[in-house]
Amino acid sequence: MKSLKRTRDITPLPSRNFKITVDDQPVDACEGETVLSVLLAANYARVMENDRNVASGAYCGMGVCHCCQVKINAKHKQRACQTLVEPQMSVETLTNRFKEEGIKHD
Amino acid sequence: MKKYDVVIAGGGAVGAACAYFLSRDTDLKIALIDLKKPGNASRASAGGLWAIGESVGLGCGVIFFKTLSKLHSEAKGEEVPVMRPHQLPDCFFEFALTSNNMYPALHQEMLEKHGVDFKFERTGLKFIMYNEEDRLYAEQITQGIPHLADQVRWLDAEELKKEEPYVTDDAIGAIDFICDHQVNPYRLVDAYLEGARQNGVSLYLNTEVTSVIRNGNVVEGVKTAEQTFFCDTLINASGAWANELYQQATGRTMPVYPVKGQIVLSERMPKIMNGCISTSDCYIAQKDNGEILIGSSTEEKGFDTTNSLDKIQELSQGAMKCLPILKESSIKRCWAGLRPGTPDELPILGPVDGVEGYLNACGHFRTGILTSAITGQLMTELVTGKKTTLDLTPFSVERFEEAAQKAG
Ligand SMILES: Cc1cc2nc3c(=O)[nH]c(=O)nc-3n(C[C@H](O)[C@H](O)[C@H](O)COP(=O)(O)OP(=O)(O)OC[C@H]3O[C@@H](n4cnc5c(N)ncnc54)[C@H](O)[C@@H]3O)c2cc1C
Ligand code: FES
Repeated sequence: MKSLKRTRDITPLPSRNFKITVDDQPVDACEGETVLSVLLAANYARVMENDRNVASGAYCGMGVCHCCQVKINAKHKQRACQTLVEPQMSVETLTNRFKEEGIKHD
Repeated sequence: MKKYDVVIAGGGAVGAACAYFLSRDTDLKIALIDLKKPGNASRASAGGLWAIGESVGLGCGVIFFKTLSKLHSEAKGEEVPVMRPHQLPDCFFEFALTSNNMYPALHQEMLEKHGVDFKFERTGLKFIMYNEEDRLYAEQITQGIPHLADQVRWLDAEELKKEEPYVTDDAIGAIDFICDHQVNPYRLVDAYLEGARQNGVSLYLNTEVTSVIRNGNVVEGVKTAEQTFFCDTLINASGAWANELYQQATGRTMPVYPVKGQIVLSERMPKIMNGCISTSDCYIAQKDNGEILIGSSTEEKGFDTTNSLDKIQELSQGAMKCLPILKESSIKRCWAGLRPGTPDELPILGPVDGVEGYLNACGHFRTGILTSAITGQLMTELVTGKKTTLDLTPFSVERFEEAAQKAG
C-alpha cells in the first residue's frame, strides 16, 4: 500500500510514533499532535468539502472557523485542528455527507 | 408628527400578521413599529403549526406529565396520581385549528401576489411512544379529542419504521396528528412584512415605541425617540413586553410575562425526517434547509435569554434517544427566546373595557406562529367593526379581573 510521506515537518518526529490512515494511506503520527498537523505535514492544503461542494483549507487553526472539517473514524464534520491523533485513526478529507448520501437540501 | 388609522406596536409574527391582513383587506393607513429586543419569540421559535399537538399539551405538557409519571413509579402501588394530558379548552382548539386551516391558501397567496415563500410543509406531528406509559398517555390524548378522531393516526412499530426509518428501534409506535404542519418562522414574519410593505404599510423597523399617548380613556397614539404617531387604533402586539404598553395605555396591568424556551439546532443534514416529532423529552423538526431543530425548555426567568448547559444536554439527549443518527451530527447553534406567557395559556385579544382606540393582540405563549394568521384576521374584523369569526369573550383581558375578583 502506498504510504504518505511527511515532507513538511519542521523538526523530526519523536520516535514514539504510530500510524493513522489518511484517505486510506498510512502515515506517521505522534501522540499529542492534531489531525491537522499531520495533514499539513503530509502536504495537504485542501482538506474539507462543505455542504455546497466547495473545497476549503484550514484557516484559523484554533477551532473557530470550521474550515477544516474532515471525516474521522466514520464521523463527518470533525474539526481536524481540534482533534488529537490516536493509533488506528482513520481520516478522510474532502468528504461530505450530502455528496455521499446523494441527497440535496435547499 | 404622523397620523395613521392604525399603529401596530411590535413586529413579530403577530404584529406582522395584523399589518398584512389589515393592509390586504382595508384601505386604512397603517404603520408598524418594531424594535427587535433580545428574546423576540418569533425569530426564536420552531415554526411548528402544531394545532392539535399544542392543544393537547405536547411540548411543555409532556414535561409536566413526565414529572407525574416519575411520581407514579415512585409511588409503586400506592395512591397513583391521575395522569392527564394537559389539554387546553375548546375555544383554543377552535382558535388554533381555524388559523391552521388558513396556511395552505396563505402560502399560495404570498407566493403569487408577493413573491415570498415561507416554506409551508405538510409534515404531520408524530408523538413517539417508547413504553406503556407513553401509550397510556397517547390513549388519553386521543380520548380527550373524539371530535378530531379523523385527524389522528395510530402507527405500530413497523409502520413507524417505514415512515421514519431513522427513529430508534426502541419505539413501540406513534400517534400522528395529520393536520399539524410546519413553516419557516423567519420567512413567515418576513413574508407578512413584505406583503404588508407591498400593500402600502409604513414599516418603522429598529424603532422603539417609547410611550403611549393617552387622553383620559382614549388612546391617541404613541411616541418613539424621534417622532409622534397619532392613530385611531393602537394594536399592542409587543409579545412578552406587552404589559408595558398596556399599562401606559390603560393604567392597569395584565398578566403577560416572558417564558423562556431554549432551542438546539444541528448542522444541515440530509433528509432524515419525513414529519415533525414530539417525544416525552423534546420536539424535533427538520427545517427546509436540512437543519434539525430540537426544542424546547419552559422556564420562567424574567427577560433572561441565556442558554444553559443542562437544558441543552437534556434536549440533545432526548433527540439522540429518538433519532440515534443525530449522534453523528454537530450542533450548529443554540438560542433562547421569550414566549409571551399568560396564566391560562390563552392569548389576550381585543378591546379593553372603558378604553378607546386600543386593541390587545398578545399573550400567544407557545403558539403565536400557528395562531398569527387568525389573529391578523380577527384584528382586521375588530378594526373594521365586522362580526368576528370567533367569539372573543374567552380571550378578553377582563377574564383576569373577574378571576381576581372571584378569588378576592
Ligand atoms: C423556543 C420557542 C419555540 C417556539 N415554537 C413555536 C412553534 O413551534 N409554533 C408556534 O406557533 N409558536 C412557537 N413559539 C411561540 C411563538 O414564537 C410566540 O407565541 C410568537 O412568536 C409570539 O409572537 P409575537 O409577535 O407576539 O411576539 P414576538 O415575536 O416576541 O414579537 C414582539 C415584538 O415586539 C417588539 N417590541 C416589544 N416592545 C416594543 C416596543 N416598546 N417598541 C417596539 N417594539 C417592541 C419585540 O422586540 C418583538 O420584536 C415558540 C416560542 C419559543 C420561545
Ligand atoms: S482551522 Fe478553523 S476550525 Fe479548524
